Amino acid sequence: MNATMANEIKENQQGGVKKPQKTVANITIRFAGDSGDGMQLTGDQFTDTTAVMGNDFATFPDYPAEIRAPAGTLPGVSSFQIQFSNDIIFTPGDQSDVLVAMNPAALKVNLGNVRKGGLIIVNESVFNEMNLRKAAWKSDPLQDDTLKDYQVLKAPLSQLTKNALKDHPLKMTEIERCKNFFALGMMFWLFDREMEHTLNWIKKKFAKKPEIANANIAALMAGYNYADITEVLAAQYHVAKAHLEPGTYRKIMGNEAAALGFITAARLAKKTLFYGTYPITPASTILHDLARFKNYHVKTFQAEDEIAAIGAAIGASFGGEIGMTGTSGPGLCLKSEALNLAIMAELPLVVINVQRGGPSTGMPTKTEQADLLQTLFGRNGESPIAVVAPKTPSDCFMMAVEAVRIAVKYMTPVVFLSEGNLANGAEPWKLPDIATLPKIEIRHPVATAEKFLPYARDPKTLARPWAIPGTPGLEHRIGGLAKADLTGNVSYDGPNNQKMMELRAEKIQRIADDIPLLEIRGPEKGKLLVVGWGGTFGPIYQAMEELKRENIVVSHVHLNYLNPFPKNLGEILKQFETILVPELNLGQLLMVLRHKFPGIHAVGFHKVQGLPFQVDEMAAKIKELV
Amino acid sequence: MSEHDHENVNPDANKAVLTKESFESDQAVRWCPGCGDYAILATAQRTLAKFNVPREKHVFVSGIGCSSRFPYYMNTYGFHTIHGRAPTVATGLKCVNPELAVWVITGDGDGLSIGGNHLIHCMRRNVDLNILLVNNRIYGLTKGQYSPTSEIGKITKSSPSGTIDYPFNALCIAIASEATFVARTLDTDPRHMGMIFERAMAHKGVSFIEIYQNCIIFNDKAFGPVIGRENRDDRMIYLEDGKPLLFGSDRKKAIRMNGLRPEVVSLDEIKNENELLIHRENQMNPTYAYLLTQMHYPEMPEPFGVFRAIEKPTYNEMMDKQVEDAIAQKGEGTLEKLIYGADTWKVG
Amino acid sequence: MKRACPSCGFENIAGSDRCEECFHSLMQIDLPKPSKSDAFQRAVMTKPVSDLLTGKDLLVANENDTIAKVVRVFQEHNLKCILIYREKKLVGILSNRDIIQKAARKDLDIAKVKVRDIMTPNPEYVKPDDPIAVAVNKMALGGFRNLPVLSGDGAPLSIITIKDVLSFLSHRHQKV
Repeated sequence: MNATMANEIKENQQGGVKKPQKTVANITIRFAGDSGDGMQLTGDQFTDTTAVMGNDFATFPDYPAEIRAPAGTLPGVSSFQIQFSNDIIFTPGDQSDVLVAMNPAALKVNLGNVRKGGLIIVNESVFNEMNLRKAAWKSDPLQDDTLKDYQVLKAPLSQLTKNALKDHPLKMTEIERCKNFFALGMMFWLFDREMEHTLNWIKKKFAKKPEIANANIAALMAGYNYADITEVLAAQYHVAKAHLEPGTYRKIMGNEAAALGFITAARLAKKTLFYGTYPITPASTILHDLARFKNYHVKTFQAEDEIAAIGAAIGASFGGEIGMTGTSGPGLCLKSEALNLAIMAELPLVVINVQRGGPSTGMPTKTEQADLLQTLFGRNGESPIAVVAPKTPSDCFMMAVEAVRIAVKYMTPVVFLSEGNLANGAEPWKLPDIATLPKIEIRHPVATAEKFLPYARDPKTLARPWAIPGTPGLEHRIGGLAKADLTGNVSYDGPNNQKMMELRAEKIQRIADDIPLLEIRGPEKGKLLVVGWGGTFGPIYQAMEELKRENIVVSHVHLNYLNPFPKNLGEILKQFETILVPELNLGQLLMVLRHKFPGIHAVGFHKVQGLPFQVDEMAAKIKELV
Repeated sequence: MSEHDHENVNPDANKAVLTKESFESDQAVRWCPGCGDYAILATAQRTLAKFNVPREKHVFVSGIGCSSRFPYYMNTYGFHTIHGRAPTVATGLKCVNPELAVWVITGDGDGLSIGGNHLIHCMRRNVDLNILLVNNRIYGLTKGQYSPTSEIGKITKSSPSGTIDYPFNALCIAIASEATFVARTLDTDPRHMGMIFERAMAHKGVSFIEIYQNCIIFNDKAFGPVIGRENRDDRMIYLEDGKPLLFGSDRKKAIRMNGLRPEVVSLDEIKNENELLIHRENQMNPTYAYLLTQMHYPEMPEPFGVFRAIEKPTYNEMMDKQVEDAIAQKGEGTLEKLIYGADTWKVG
Repeated sequence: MKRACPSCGFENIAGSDRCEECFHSLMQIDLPKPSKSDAFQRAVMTKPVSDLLTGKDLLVANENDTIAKVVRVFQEHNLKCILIYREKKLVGILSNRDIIQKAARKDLDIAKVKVRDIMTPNPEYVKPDDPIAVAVNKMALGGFRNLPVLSGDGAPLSIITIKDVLSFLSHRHQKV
C-alpha cells in the first residue's frame, strides 16, 4: 500500500494530472478538534515540516478550557494555529485562512476566527444529531446558511480513514485515531508540503508498533490523495521560502527558551541553579522543564507556597549559588515582602513573572501585560529593582541569560517579565554560537588582613561583595533592617538611611551603562514613534511591514530593558512628534514614560481582552496617528 | 551534622581552639535586662565552642521577634530575614550548601503564627537543620500582644477582656509534622539547654527544640508554676532514654500508662518495675512522643528533654543524590547538548 | 504512576496531556470507561436515558392544583408520580409517598392543600442524551426514586425510576 501510494504521489508531483498552483505570501491555518483528536500533534507535524521547508512561522496552541471533558463537548475543544510565510513574521495570524474542524464543537468555537471567504474543512462523519446538540448548534450548520460566507469542504474524514485502513490489522479505536494524519495529509497537499520529514518521524516514533506506523503513513497518503482528487480544492497553494538568516534552528516555545537560558547562564557562571517555585498557570512549565535537567546542576524546589518559594531562592543566593523563583501576577503580590528583603540584603535573585490576565485570579490562561507597575513599585518603601522583558518566544533565551548576568554583577534582584502569549507561543529559534555567549564571571571575597566590610561597594557597579557562608574570616550578618554604609550593621541613623537608599537607587541606574543602546527601526526622527515592550513586538513589526507597502513609514523601538531604560531612550523620544505606546494593559508603560520624560506627547493604545493585538488593529491605530 | 563531624573537623580552619568568646560578635546585646534570651545566647556560644566546628560553618537564620535578634550577637554568618519565613531561607541555604550547620531561630509568634505553615513543611521535609523555637507565650517585640501559645482568657494589650483563642502546643505541631528530633528545654537550666543543643547538632535531620523562655517585661513568670524553684521537682520530668519517667524531690514519683492515659504513681505503690513507662526516643511511631506532649500543668508534670529522636534520609541529601544520579546516568550536561541537542534544521 | 500511550507505547507520567514521545493526545484515555467484560456496566455507562423512555403520555400538574385533584388523577391514570410546572418551567415533583407522608393527616383537608405545599421543589433531572449511569448516580446520591427527563428546552418527556433501569438491563441481558 505504501509503495503504490508513494509512487502515485511522485507522479503527481512530477507533473502528472496536476491542479494549478497559486503563490501566496503567507497562510494561517487553524487545526481544531476534540481534545482526543490529536490536533496539537497534527499542528506540530505541520509546523515541523514547514520549518524544514524554510518558511518562517509562528504558532499558538489553544488548550481546552477543562482539564478533561467528555468527547464532543465545547469545553473539550483543543486547537492549534500556525501562520507561515515567505517573509519574517512574528505573530500566529489574526484570522485563519483555513480551519480544519474535526467535530461540531470545534466548528462552533472557532468559526468566528475564520476570515470571510476562507476555507473550512469539516469532518462530515461526526456531524450527527447528538454531536450537534452537544455543541449547542440549533440546526446543522452544514445544511443551513451558517457557512455561506466560506468555502466549505465536507469530507467524511472518519469514514475515509476507515476505508483507507480497511486492510490494516488494527482495532476500530486505533483506526479512529489515525484520522488526524488523514487531515494532515490533506493539508500537506493543499500547501504543497514535502512529506519526508513526517514519514521519517512516524517511522521513528512508532518503531515499536510497526502496524500503527504503517497505518499512520497510509492515512497520511490517503489524505494527500483525497485532497488531490476532490473538486472542492481547486488549487494548491505555494508559500516560498523565507529569507531566514543562515544558521542552525530549532522550534522553541517561550517558557522552554527561558528555561534553557537560565540553565545556560548558571553554567556560564559555573553555579548551581536553584529554582524555588509554586505551580501557577502559565509559569508551571518552567518548573517541569528545569526539573528534567538535574545533570546540569539544577535543583528545583517545589515549595509549600509562593513565599516559601522565594524564601528558599533567597537562601540559595545567600549560600552562593544562583537563586531563582518563578510565578505569575498573583504570586508576585505574595512575594513582595521577601523581594524587598532581597533588595535590602542586596543579594542576586532572578524573579520570573509570566503575566496573565488579572487582577486577582483574573483569566489564568489568557495573556496580559498588566504587572509592570506592580513590578516597578509594588513594595513598601523605596525599592528599586531591575526589570527585563523578552519580546518573542526565542528572545526569552537571551533575556534569561541577561537577567542572571545583571543579578550577579549588580547584586540585585532582577524581574524577568514575560507573558502567557510568549510562554506558550512557538517560533524558529536561530541557535546562538556558544562561543559568543556572554561571560559571567563571579568573584567571591576571601579573608584579608583588613576587616571585612559586607557593604563596601564596587566603585563602578556599586555592588557589594558576595561572601559565601563557610568562607573563613568573613563572618557577618545581613538582614532587612536599615543598615549602616560599609559595615552593614543595623543602623537607624537618619542621614545614613538616606545615603543607603540613594546608593541602592544609583546602583540600579548604573545598569544602564551595561546594557545595549536602543536601536530604531525606521527613520531616526519623524511624526510617529511606536514604543513597545514584551509581546507587542510581533504585531507592531508586522503592522509596520504592512504599512510600508502602503508607503506609510513610522519608527519603532522595543524595550527589552524596562528598568533602567537604555541610556538613549530620552534622546530618541525627543526626535518624534508623537509617541504611541501599545500595551495589553490600561496604560502602564505610558505612565512611566510620561513621568520620566515630561514634555513628550505620548498616546496609549490599550487592550485588555486576554488576547494579543491583531496586526490589523495595530496598523489601523498607527495610521490614525500619522 | 552527623555524630562524627564534631571531632577532627577541618583542623586547619581554626588554629586556636574555639571558646565562647570566639562566638561573640562586636554588637552590644540589647535585650531587656533579665531577659531569658541572654542565657540562650550564652549557651549557644558555649555549645558551638565545644564542638570546635569552624565558626564560618555556622549560619543563624532568624525571622522577626526579640529572639530573632540572635544572629546579630553571634560571630558567625547570619541572616535576619522576614517575619515567619526563616525556615524557607534556611531550607534554600542548606540545599545549596549542605556543609553548613544551619540554625533557625524563631519564636512562638514568628514560628507558630505567621510562620506556622513554613515550620510544618520544613519539619515534614526533614531538612537537616536545627530549629530553636523560643517560646515566651507572648509577643514581646511588638510590646505585649498574645500569641498562639498564650493561655485562653489571658489579659493583654490586644485582649483587654481576655483572649478567646485556644492555644496550641509547639511540640504537638512538631510531632504532627513528623519532625525526626523533638525536644524541650528551658532558659533557666543552661546545663540542660547545652545538652539539648549538642544532641541537636549531632542529629542528622531536622531538630526541633522548644525553649521555655521568660519575658520579664510582658509575661513574667509565665512558666513559673512549672519551672519555678519551689515547684519544679514535682512538676517537671527530665526525660532520659531507656529510663522510667522519674520525678519528685525524692525521685519517688513516676509515670505509668493506664490504657492510653499516662498517670502519676508513687514508686512505693507499684509492685513491679515493668509497670512503669520507660522513655524511648527512637520510635518510628510518633504516638508515644505525642502522648508526652499532652502532659501539661496542672493535670500532669511536664516533660523536658528529648521526646523523639529518629533518623531518616534528609531532604537536602536526597536532593543532592538526585543530581548525582542524573549526572551518573546522563553525564554532565554541556551547553552543546542543551542548546543543539533537540531536533534542529539548517538554513543556508 | 505511568500510563502507556495507546499509539506508541511510551510510558508517560499520569495525567499528561499528550505523549512525550509521539505527541499523541492522551486527553481521552483517562475518562471513566466501562470494563470490556461487564455487559451491565457497558450498557449503563454508554447507553442514553432515551433508550429507557417508553413513550407513554406524560401528565403534568400545576403548583396551585389541590392534592385532591392530584389524587383523582393518580387513581384515574394509575400514576405514582407527577411533574409540577409553572408555565414552561419545571418547579417540583410530587409522588404518592409525598401525599401519604405529608398530606394524609386527620387535620388536613386535601381539597384545600395545594401541590406547592408538599411537593419537592426544584428536583434533579436528566436529559435524554445523558448516559443511564448519570441517572443512576443522581438517584443514588439524592436518595430519590423518580427522576424527571426533560428535553433540551425544559419540556417534560418522562419520569424514570430505578425499575425502568433494571428492566432495560435485564431485557438487554436476555438479548446478549
